[in-house]
Amino acid sequence: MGFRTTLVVTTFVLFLFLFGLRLTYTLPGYKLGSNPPPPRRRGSPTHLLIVLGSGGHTAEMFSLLHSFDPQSYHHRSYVVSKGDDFSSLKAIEFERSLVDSAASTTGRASDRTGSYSIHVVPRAREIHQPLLTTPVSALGCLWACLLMLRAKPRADVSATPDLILVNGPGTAVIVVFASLILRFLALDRSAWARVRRPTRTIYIESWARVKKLSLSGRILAGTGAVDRMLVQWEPLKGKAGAEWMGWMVK
Amino acid sequence: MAVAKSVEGPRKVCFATIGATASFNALLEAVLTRTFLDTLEKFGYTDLILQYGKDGFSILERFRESEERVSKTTSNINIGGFDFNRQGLGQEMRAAKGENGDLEGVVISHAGTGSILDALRISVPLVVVPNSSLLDNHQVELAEELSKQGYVIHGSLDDLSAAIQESEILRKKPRPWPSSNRGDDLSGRGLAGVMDEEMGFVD
Repeated sequence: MGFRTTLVVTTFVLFLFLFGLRLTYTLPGYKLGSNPPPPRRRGSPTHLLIVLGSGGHTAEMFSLLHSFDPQSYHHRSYVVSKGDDFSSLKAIEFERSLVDSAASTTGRASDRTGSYSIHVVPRAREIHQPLLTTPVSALGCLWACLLMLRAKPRADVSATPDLILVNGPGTAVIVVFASLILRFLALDRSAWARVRRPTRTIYIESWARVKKLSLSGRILAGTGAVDRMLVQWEPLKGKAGAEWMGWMVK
Repeated sequence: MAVAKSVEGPRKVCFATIGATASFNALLEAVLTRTFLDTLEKFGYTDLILQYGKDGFSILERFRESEERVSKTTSNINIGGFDFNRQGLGQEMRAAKGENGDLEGVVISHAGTGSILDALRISVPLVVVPNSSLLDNHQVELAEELSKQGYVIHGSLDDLSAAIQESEILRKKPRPWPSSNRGDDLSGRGLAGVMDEEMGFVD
């Protein structure tokens, strides 16, 4: 074996090793990044990102957020798929209810309920779209998600969300992967901060899933892409590291 | 057309909903039978409301025609229906719950999460009928588990009359809501607790 070949092979192996090392450091499932999260004062500016899906997923997400405290999460970014007006409407309704309940308890509202934004991304896959063209549309969705995760929604919060909440629509997989790609490449805004706070991700399996995880759940929890995997039914306990939380819907 | 009967005394409503996303004609055909309507009458029902979806109206029409042509008599149950209401099905659910002095009836629903939760929230007796034509069979698992825990009746298309009978027993049993099932979550704070942990809120 010549010197040249040895050099190429060594470089390749070294590259693979570093790639794998970076990947295990990036994926929350390997618990190498930062676990548990560094403590933070309640009331400091925070950015929560919520991925909404089609009808059922969206309705369940807002049912899960029945005791949501807007004062702990200053800015809420909602991700909806193009053409999904139902989800946008539900997000606006939910935000209005936050303002209303703050107004009824304190008398003054808007400054205490923070802000929100709705981000429309192209669909990863249209219904009945042939499998062959799916990678193209999925990449389009990924690109839109990457751009979204790089744009600051508000001056005092980071573009990188502090927390991502997902509950199963296809878009959720793309959003979570986009956030991990940015972290892998150290392009997320927390990468160079004094106190590193990488995005934390919580996956909540649908209440409708009793014995088998959904496809999105298996992909995300199976690859170690989420920090927490919460399930509502006992038979799912322990699957892909799932924590059994009982019924979270209300 | 069925003539609207004059209703005296309290109503007792059976509300059947097939959901917004898929058609479920088998459920409509199962409730629009003379046997089922007779069962409703036997248990004191006055009204059957159908949420029949985009292509369910023709089934209702066909049933009304055959009622008049074949049996010459119509059932004493008032039958009404509508396509779908984007504002939600709260009004019909509450009618089945029997507010304003009416009697409590029953909801017969496809196994969609939204409808099931809506019915459980107002604690109206619920018969869940999974749509077997859908590929996803996780709806069957949900219906089975909920019925095992005594929250709903897992209805079968072949014998919805039996489900009506069972619902009279379910009506008398307590079905606490929201569920006190907290799983392994010792804090009892649910999702809000996990979110706080992940954010690093220590107070």
